[in-house]
Amino acid sequence: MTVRIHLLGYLARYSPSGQEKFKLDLEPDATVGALLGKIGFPAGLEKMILVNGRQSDSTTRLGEDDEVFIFSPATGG
Amino acid sequence: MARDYIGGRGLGVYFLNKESDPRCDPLSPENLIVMATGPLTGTGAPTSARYMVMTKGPLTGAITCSNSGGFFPRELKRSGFDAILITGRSPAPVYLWIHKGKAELKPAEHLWGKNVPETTELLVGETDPKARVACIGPAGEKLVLYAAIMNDRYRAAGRSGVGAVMGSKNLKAVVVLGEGQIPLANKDQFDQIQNRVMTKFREGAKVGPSPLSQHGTIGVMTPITQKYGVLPTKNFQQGTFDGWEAISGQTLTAKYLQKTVACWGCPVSCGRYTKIDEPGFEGEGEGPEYETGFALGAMCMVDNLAAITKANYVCNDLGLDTMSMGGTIACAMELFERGYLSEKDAGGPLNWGDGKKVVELCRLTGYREGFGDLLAEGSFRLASRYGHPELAMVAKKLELPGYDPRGLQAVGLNYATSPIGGSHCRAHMAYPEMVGIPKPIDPHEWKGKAKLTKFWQDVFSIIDSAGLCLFFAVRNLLRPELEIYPDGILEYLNAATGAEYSLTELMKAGERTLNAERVFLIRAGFGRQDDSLPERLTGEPFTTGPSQGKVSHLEEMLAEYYQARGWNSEGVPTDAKLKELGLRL
Repeated sequence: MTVRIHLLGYLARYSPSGQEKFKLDLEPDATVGALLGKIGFPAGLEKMILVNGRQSDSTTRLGEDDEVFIFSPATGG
Repeated sequence: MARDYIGGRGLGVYFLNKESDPRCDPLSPENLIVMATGPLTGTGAPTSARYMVMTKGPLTGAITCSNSGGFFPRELKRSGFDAILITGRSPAPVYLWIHKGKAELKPAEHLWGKNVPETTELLVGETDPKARVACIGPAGEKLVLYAAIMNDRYRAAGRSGVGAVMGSKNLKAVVVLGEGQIPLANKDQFDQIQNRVMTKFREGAKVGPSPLSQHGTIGVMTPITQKYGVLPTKNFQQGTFDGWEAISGQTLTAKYLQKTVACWGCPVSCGRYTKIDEPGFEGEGEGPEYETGFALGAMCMVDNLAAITKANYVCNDLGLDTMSMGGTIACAMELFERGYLSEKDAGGPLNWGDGKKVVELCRLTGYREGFGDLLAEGSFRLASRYGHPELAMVAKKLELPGYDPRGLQAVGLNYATSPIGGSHCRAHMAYPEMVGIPKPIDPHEWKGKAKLTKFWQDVFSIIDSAGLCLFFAVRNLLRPELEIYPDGILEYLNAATGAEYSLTELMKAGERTLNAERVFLIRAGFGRQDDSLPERLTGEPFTTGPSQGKVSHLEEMLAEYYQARGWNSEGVPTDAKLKELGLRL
């Protein structure tokens, strides 16, 4: 299955293409954790994960064409 | 008194309750303006560049807490004056010149009608090259109800119309030259805290650049609100905007950013200095930040970042609050779309997404020309004039910030109960609900949010009163738990002032300020009916996106909130609560 990934800001350094947005092929039913492992995202790095706009974590199971958005908690506004 | 109220915002409400009549007409000579620094302002504590403007706001009729950074606040503090109180009305335009321990009113006829950059330049020229200026532009002179007080050219005490109050007093500017030192009660202790806090901050920065520094608030918040489906779009008719990438900070960095900008003593530097060369939108200056991008962009369906940035420049030059400006234009566009506002009244068509029109409307509003004269009254009065006040996206008549409360429950409760009306800065509940600071909480759950919002509001009043910016404080000076006890601010305050606050006392001071502001509101005639949100947000669920089917559960949260505050069911502080805090109605 293919999922869409968006790594915001400097987290794009963990993108295989170097771009913030990319697609990735994963085993069916793969978890967010499997995705993070595949791209070599450091385990200890502080992050927020949204799957299709909902707060998620490494145990969340992914489906075809899901959008995974990962950002570093920062302030703004 | 200073101990009970800390300074800054606390000091402001203390003087407003003591020296002014909350029932006064905000634009009458009776209204009082308090410009107050906090005990940490200018001390070198990170982000200690802030001051607060408090008065009765003409847009809202409520108390104001208009906060700004830059360089003026430190200069004021160094002048030896912690705060300025302004009342009455001058028969002719004047400016206030503070230097060498004196404050004098000087003629300003030659400045009347000048915009913010012109005024700033002329005043620095005729006073001192090192002087710092806070002034109004034409919008403040023309009593636009959301006119700002602009300091250091680009920084705004933006909200609630504090600039119009200055204009009503014929006061064009406050100019300060601060030549003194800011005393610290225990400098060694202060330096130790500073070393520890900054070392930790710099270690964090090694992991990755601060997202705020990299792409500004507009780069952090635009993608996040869009992904959650809470980016207010088309006057809050939608929670996502198809053109969001075109108006995000990443696009700003790639196309228009010249350099990042920091306030005095700030290690974050979220400010953007930008330049636009595109025909029709040429200009340069600071901005836009997230709230401007959402208000002049997504709210009006404008996906042209050059147009948004140009509109921001116009607002800065004329002295307008970009948030209320954008909210009011969006409201006008919806009134026009629904056929309630005619092309004749609007001076032409008002179509969603027309960036050129948005720029032009900002200019017209700043000078109160043509349709700008109606826009200058804000969205509530505009929508009411055309028979549809429900289309004004406001709380206490103040245009709402860029986080839709249908998908963020505590955010909505804070909008409704913030003493100044629709503001995110009196407790930024999007931190825990959306950004995960200090840790994530379910944004759609309303239960338990009342107590948390009350707690956050009390702590944010401490940040505001101390003279700090929210950005650094929330991440670095508060306890990393949902109960964000301000341990770091306590340390800094005690070292700077020698006040030897306990944490309990400091929390009480924060709560006291909130309640003193509530006392002002009750005396001014506000009550439970004013702790409200537009019907759209409580009654019209999102039809698409991650928050599909959701509305704000304000009523349920409000009852719990009053209980947590020790207020009765009408939102009035009980006698016991007033006594506990040493306040009187």
